[in-house]
Amino acid sequence: MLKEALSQIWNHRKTYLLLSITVLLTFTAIGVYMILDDSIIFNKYKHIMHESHYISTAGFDRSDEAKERLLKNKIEQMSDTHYYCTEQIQGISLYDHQFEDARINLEVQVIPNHIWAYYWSLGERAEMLDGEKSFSVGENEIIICKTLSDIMDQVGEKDYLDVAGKRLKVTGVMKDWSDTSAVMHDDGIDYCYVNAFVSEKTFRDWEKNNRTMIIYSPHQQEIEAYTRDLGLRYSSVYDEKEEMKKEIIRAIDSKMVITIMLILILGINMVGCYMNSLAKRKYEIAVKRALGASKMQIIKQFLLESLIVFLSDILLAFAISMAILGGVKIFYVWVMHDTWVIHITAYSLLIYAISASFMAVYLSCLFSILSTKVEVIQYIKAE
Amino acid sequence: MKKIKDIEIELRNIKKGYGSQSVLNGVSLRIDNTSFISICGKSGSGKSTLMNILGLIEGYDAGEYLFNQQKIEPGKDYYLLRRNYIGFIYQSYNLIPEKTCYENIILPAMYAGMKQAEIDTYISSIVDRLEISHLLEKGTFALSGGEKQRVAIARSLILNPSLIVADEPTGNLDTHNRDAVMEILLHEHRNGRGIVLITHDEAVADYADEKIYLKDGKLSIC
Ligand SMILES: Nc1ncnc2c1ncn2[C@@H]1O[C@H](COP(=O)(O)OP(=O)(O)O)[C@@H](O)[C@H]1O
Ligand SMILES: [Mg+2]
Repeated sequence: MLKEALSQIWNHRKTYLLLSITVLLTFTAIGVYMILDDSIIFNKYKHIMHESHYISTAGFDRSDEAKERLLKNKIEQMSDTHYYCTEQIQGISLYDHQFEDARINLEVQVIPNHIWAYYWSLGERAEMLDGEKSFSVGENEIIICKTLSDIMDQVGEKDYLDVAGKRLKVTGVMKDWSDTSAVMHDDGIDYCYVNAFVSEKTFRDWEKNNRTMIIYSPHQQEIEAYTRDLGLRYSSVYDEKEEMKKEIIRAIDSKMVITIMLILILGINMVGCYMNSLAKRKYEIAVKRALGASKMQIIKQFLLESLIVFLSDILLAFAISMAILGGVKIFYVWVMHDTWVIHITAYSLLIYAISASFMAVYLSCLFSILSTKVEVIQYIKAE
Repeated sequence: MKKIKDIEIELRNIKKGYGSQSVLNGVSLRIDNTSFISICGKSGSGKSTLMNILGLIEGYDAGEYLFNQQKIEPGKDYYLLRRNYIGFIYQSYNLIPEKTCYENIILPAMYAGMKQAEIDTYISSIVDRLEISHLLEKGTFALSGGEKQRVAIARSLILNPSLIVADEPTGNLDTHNRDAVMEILLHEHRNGRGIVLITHDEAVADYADEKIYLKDGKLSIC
């Protein structure tokens, strides 16, 4: 029966070729759309795709020092967990300079004395100007951002910065983090936000206001639970991971809709193709039935033919989609000089596989069942 | 040669029409392995319809059809009886054009699930008898009418039928080929197969033991 199906596919290759083009176009479109969409999301978030860490923040009031200590103790016992505190400090020596009519607000990041990698956001590490990614800062020392360094240059200060009554030695300059150093406009007064790093010991003597502890850890749930137990404000503002998940879910929805639409169009087309093909083959069916083929045998033959053609089309369409995506990748790598990863999620693969097999099985069944509706007598009666 | 199975067909008062048009109006007929019947009649008188009912391709409206004592119900598909007992031959040959002669001949055997070895031994005796061994690998389109009909006869014989039903088998042939085909059918009849054939041709009808005329939906002896 397989041999018969294959030979009839070959004999009717013109019809099947026409039909295949429709299937190929549709499933290539679906494939390209899915892989492209997945790849775009993947490449947008690839820096955090395999990131096991989360960024959690705990907010303290002036009176929360005991709680801060408890939380720190807890965090320091956790594996692979880092934290720092951040607070706006008034009384920077430049504050009164009204630099170019701008008020300078200094946000200090208080880091523990040991060296660790400081993350602006998930997967995005702070870097010194020379590209060094890990750094330490000692007592009465400060590492400042590029904007602050520029301001100091312009007012003629160089090695020392007075902050809240302390004279701190500038030991390094780091790259700006995109937004924090921007100049803000508010009622005609410009506010300039700058960043700096100081150590715990330096920070200890300053008056404390509303600090935020930023915790970088894979144990997000434990930290959230503990922070809330202590009655502290908890948030997870930098959570790109949640954003990514949302985006992936949104993408699944639109994929389903588009796939269903394309498949409906394909389905309507295919029924037409099949009817045409059957009209041409009624004679063959009639003769075979007269010669003792059962309805079941005819159904089987047409089912096999259709499944073979359909499934090879779908495999081919998938291969073509991958090839097209390969072209996109080459464009990114060679023309844009960027890394770009071709990615397909399990969801997309599932949608693709389900829609493809549904289509193949449904249309093939339809085709083969229609094939038995042929009136045998009409085609074999002699005058 | 394999033994030919016994067959006994009885049509009793069969009626058949299409829409409001009545085609067969009470046809009765007995056929077995020893029958050689020719049916003639005007075009459109219902000869092919009768053949197709006889050959279990078409149902009937009223009457009774007994096939080896089994009651045949109209509307049911008796493909197994068709496969095991009946070989069809047509005026227009009804070969499948995209297949070779060999593939056409073995088509019924394929559907019957016959083993390849069995097919091969059986087919060689048939094609030798019909003198078409040299045509087996050819396509059907290049053949002459006589060759096509011999290929079609080979196909009708491949499952060793008890009855050959032939609808104007010589209608498209010249006299030489007509006689050749009739000699083949006569030979098969002598081997023990019943034959029912439709023809307009007196010379063809003369081969039959029994000549029947179909008129106004009823049969009469010529
Ligand atoms: N499948 C069919 N549907 C409707 N009418 C049919 C069909 N087959 C045959 N007929 C009609 O029945 C009559 C007998 O047809 P047929 O048996 O082919 O005649 P014959 O073979 O004697 O020429 C004709 O009038 C024909 O038009
Ligand atoms: Mg006829």
